[in-house]
This record gives sequence, C-alpha cells and structure tokens, in this order.
Amino acid sequence: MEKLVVLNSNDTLQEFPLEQKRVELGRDPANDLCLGDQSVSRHHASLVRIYTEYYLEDHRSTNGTRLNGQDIKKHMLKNGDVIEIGKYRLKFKKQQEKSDENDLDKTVVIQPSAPQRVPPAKPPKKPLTTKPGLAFIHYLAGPEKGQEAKLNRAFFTIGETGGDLALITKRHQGYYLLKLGGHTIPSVNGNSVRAGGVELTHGDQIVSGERQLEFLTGS
Amino acid sequence: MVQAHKLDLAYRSETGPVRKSNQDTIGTDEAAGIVIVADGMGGANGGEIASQLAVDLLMQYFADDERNPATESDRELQESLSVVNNAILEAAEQMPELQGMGTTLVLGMFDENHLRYAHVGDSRLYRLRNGKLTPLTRDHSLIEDMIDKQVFSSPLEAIEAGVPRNILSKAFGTAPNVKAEIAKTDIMAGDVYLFCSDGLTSIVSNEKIENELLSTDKNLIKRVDDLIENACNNGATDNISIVLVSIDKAA
Repeated sequence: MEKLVVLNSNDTLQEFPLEQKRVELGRDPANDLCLGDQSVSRHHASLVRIYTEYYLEDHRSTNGTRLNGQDIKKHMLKNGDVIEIGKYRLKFKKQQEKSDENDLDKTVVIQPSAPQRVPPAKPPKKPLTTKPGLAFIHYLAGPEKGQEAKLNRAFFTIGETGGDLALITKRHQGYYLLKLGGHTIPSVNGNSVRAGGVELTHGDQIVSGERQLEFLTGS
Repeated sequence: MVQAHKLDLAYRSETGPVRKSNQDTIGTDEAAGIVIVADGMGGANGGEIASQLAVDLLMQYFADDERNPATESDRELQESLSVVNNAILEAAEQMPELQGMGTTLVLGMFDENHLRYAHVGDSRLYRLRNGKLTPLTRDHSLIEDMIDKQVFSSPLEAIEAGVPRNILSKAFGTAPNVKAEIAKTDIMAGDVYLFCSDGLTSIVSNEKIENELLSTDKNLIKRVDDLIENACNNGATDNISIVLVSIDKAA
C-alpha cells in the first residue's frame, strides 16, 4: 500500500497510510491528514487514486504545493516523490512490483479485479458451428516421440514457449494448424502453413521445428 | 448512388533500435479489405504469441466464405473477437510461463463504401481527409480515462503532468471478458487510413504524421518507410507497425 512519510515533523504522526481513494490535506481539522501550521491553507491539496496510481492536486492554496521542488497544480506521483506543503515535507512511498521498477516501456494493463484463475475458454456458438469429431496426434519425432495425445481442448499447442510453437484449434467442423511462435514455419505434408492456418485431415504429416507428428481422426 | 472504391495498401512492422524482438503483428488481406495491427505484451515471448494468435485467428475467420465481416452485427463481431481473447487466455493457461501475456488490436474491414473498425488498447486508427488527420479511435488507457474523469483536458496535458503512457485499461488476454470498441464510417476517394501501434504515435506527433501522409508525391510504401524512419531517428524504444490504406475511385 502507498503511504506518506512526514520527513521533518516533531508531531507524533510519522507515517500516513493511503487507504482511501481520496485523501484531503490541509490545516482544517476536517482534513484526512491535518497539517496544523499557519503555512498550510485550510484546504490545501488532495491525493486521488485512479486504478493503481495517485495524483496530487493543489486547491489554490496560498503558498502553493511543490513536488520535488517544482510548483504544481496537478501531477502524478511516483515512488520517492517529495511533496512540500507549507513547512511540511512528505515523501510518497509506493510498493513496487518486483520487476516493474521504472520500466516505462513495459506496457501494463490495469486489472479490473484481482487476477484470478482463468475459466476455460467458452467459444461462442455462432462462429464455431458443429463440433468436429474426435482427433488425435501421434508424435513421430521429437521429445514426445511415441506418444499419442487426444485433441480434447479448443486449443492444443505443440512445442515449447521460446522455441517453435504451433497450435491446433478446433474450429468450424475441423481442426486447424497455426504457427504460434518461433523462427520456423510449421508444415503439413511438406507445405508451409500460410497465415490463417491450414485445415488438417486424417493422416496429415506435421513438422514443427524438431517435432514430427501425424494427425489422425476417428476413434 | 453507390460508388465503389478501390483500396491500395502498404505496410511494415519494424523491431526498432532498442527491443530485441518484435511483438507486433500485422495482418492484411487486400482483396477482402481486412487490416489488423496487434501489439503484444508480456515476457517469455508472450507478447509475440499473443499478437500472432490474435491476428492468425482473425484472418482465419475472415477467410471463411460464409462470413461477411462488413455486414455482420456488432454482436457477432464481438463474439468473434471474444474467441481471440479466450484463445490467448487458454494458451496462457496451457503454458504458465506465458501468464500475463496480452495484446492490443486495431482491426479495419473495408467494403466498397464503408470502413468498419474495432479496437482494444492503444493501437490506433487515423483518417486523412481533405488534408486533415483525424483519430478515429481513442486509446483504452489511463491517460484517456483521466480525461474522461475530467482530471486533465488533453493527452498532452496528462503526459506533462506525469501520467504514464504505458498503462492500458484494456487489452485482449488480460481478463475473461474484454469488449472491443466497434464503429463504422463512410469512406471517400482520396481518404488515407493509418493503422498503427503506439511505437509510432508515442514518438511522432500527429502533425508530423499528417505532413508525411500529405506528401502524395511519394508512393504509399515510401510514406510507410519514412514514418518508421522518423520514429527510429527520434528515440523510438518500441516496435513500430504501420498499415496505410488509400482509397481511390474504382476504374
């Protein structure tokens, strides 16, 4: 959780955890964080949370609000920022996710709720018409050589992440092979899989990287 | 009066000078009038897989003769797009190291007189008409959400106040139920449409993009190349993907 640490106060309050969506700061006792000094306006500034972020807003205070030494009206806060309100200096502290520190290039998506286990995909009825029949793959070469697998999921991946990765999806009335990742393009009966995938039929020979497989339908 | 139009299309996806891999994927089908730009995210190749999976699945749908993406209802299109979302979630479930992968997407479907489009995240669609560049999509991002909440009045103001650009409020593969924003517009001869990932728009200003698109002395692919070069020469840190579509009168 985020908190404000009072840096230069002799008051008893040293840390103020930010629990609410909106935290009012000022000299007036009605504020969430009351800063009782004449250098502070009665309703001086506020901190507002939006998703996982906080911003600081000055309420036309007499002496202004500074963030890291700069006068601001409204500004986002990041871990370690120092807010100056009157004679007070408050440090904004935010717990960082392990690997996210200052990686502004990394795209982050706000989770509307806590991350949860994903329910199995339920493809809509319309685009996926009747159910295709049973199908299997038989590994002829590669780490799984000799194994057989039933294609009983909407998406069946072949290979490993980071390497050559292909996917068999159950769609329409059949099964399709798609390239998912890696540098080589998988092939079916010697023909490279084109963008959009290839429909598989009984006996098709699939090559994906080091793996060779046979596609089989029926029981 | 029905006026038919002809599409001319050029595209390129570039890793850029900083990243090691390209997590963007472009899908186009000029004959069918389909354009897709997807910008993947997530470690361990997750970003590449998410964007490729999204584009492959959609291209596969649109290749289906029984479907007419230009005329099907928003609900049907939304359902097709939810297949993409579920596919990414399911792929991540099969491969735990891919947990957290996702992708933005902007999709355009041209018929003779219209463009239908859908987007999720910060991949964008712009139109150049009568010499003026207009965005047709609005990012699903923290910046735009703060504008909605009237904290800031423009993206520029938000960025100057330190709002991070890299926080999205929506992307495929990141939650069980992600709805795309779908809209439709007319097309006119002389229009140019730009589909792009944020690798372009976070570096090159709309004004510069407009000027580049207006340089009609260059062919389309040259304009795509020059936009990418402009981004690379001005501090691009991300992958850059661009599709340009120009609308001409049918002969």
